[in-house]
Amino acid sequence: MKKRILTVLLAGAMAISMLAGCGSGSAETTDGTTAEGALSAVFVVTGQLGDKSFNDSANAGITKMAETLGCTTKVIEIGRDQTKWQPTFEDLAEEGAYDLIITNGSNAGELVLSIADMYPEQKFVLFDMEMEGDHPNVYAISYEQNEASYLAGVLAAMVTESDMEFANADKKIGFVGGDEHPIITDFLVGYIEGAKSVDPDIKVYVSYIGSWDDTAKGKEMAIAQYNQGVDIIFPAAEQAGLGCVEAAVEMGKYIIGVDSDQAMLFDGVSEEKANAILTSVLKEVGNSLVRAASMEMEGTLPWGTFESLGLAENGVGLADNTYYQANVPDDIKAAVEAAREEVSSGAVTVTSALHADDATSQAIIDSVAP
Amino acid sequence: MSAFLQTILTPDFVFTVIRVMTPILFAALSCMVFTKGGIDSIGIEGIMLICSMTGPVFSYLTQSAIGGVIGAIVTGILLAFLFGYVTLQLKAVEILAGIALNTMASGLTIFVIYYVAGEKGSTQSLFSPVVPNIEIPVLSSIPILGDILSGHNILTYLAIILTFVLAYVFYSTPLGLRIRSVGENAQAAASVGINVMKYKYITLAIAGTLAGLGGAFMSMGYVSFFSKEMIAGRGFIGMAAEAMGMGNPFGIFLASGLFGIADSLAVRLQLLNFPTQLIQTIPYMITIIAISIYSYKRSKREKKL
Repeated sequence: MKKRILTVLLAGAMAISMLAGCGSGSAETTDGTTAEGALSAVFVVTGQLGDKSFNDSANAGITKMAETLGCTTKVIEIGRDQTKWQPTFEDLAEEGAYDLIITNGSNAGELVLSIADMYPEQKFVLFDMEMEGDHPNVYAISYEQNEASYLAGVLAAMVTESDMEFANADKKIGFVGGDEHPIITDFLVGYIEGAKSVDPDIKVYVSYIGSWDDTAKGKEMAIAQYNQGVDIIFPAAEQAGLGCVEAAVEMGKYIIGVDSDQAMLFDGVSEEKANAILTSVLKEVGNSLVRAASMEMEGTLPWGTFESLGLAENGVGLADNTYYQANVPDDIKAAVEAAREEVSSGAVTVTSALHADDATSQAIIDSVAP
Repeated sequence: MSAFLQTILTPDFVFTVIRVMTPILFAALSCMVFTKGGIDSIGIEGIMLICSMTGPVFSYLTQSAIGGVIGAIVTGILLAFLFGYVTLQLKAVEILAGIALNTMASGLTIFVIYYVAGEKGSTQSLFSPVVPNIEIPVLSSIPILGDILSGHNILTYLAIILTFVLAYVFYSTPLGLRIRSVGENAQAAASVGINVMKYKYITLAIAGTLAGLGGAFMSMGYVSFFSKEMIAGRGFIGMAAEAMGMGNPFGIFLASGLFGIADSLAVRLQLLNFPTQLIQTIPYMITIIAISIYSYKRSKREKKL
């Protein structure tokens, strides 16, 4: 009985929140004087919200589109069951109620492209995907993680050479990857180039966990690196990287987070973990969607192509939070800011492992091998 | 080569091996009990995964590490009973029930942590007390030996103690004898008046407890939170260690140690610029080699009989 009451209450709360959403959305369009420029967009979540990563970031962008651009928006969670994805996208395209259908291209890209070809009138936006082929009604966004990693490399090299509390005399920094994978190499290459821009003689220890989930092994990898004199590690290993954070806290070292603003996840839960994470490398999915929507309203969105968004377009970045402000010395913050300017303006070009050949990437990795 | 020796001939390396082997030892001991009681142990991976989730959750709810460990043990026992009920009473095929348990564990754990912690990847946002590491008074002051043996997690010491306790129980008590006789030939055991079901469930309770402790170690000792799929095959490696140790507690201890060495070696060698892909195969190559040796010896022994 209790459960039933709870269910009814929850359902009620959801209905009310949906009504509230509709209310504000339609109010904007009716009250707004420039209603003809406003868009309607539906974000199809392949998986669920609450991942504290891409989906939540995209959802924040959708909310911002409604608030600042006056778009009518809707979010549909379709879960992980891929058999249900195709009918959902087909129904939405068939119905044609939304100007834009937005979804995660790295999950549903292939499927959406095939549906997009069947419904040429419907426009699709795919994030985290490099699109190939001719699809005039699709716009794809990819993120230049190598540029944000470059800033992380600058920060790491400055930290290891600083007199910060947990930094030692060795000029050694670390990188822990989930597995050898082109995107992870892209992170690594950017990180190394950033570090070398500070000190060409720096040593970068590189380990691969061989798993994206094995937190315990992630911790072992980090402990082994810290024992070699490394004082800051950048793990790009999804859940497994959380083990590295744990090692950093236990051994009194530093870490750079990835994918989400990891220090803020520990805000109010574990101050020592939050303090160990100096910053995080972010893909700003939300920003990129707001950008796409405003460009579409101006009529300048390049349909049929994909764009790689880097620091200049705020497609990637470093997390700037209270812990970053409190823990990172001002000269390092200034150096990171200067590096951001250099990369944004195009004065410095960061090598991309996704576009360079393997030999080039390997040469960069070997150049800093201990 | 000298860099290689410098890496492994250190107290620190042996310390790491002991930490790495702990969850494998718990898993292997659990498999040993399952096997001695004549029950298939393929569900161990899933049981450990669910226990590694309930540990921090109960620890968070009770705000005590003991509460968490008890929560994990109770979960382990209940899951083992569930497995037992389905296979012994409802006569389901053991392998299928085990696979179902493992598959269910992946989804169920994520569902529960999302409900409790609001996250789908881990319980890192929950403040859950953990089982502490302890320095052993006199031992810790002995040079090298102290560095190796002192400062481990309480659950690590418990795993080592339990190895001896189980050896005693199985080979020197009536309880152990009855469990083994039920496991080897249930009908023969029944014919001399042993209550087969009773001993099957005692077996399940002991095995579930060990799996629960293994799960609790992962999320309350090794690291301080649950994260999805964190057992990452350690239950299955435990099954291999049990086979390699030929069902003998001390053999199992050594086999777990071997896996611990292989895993720790894989971690260290990466830093010496050995090719990553090759290094990552070390633990699995050792598994295959060890099981081959074990099977060869067994087939030779069986020929003699």
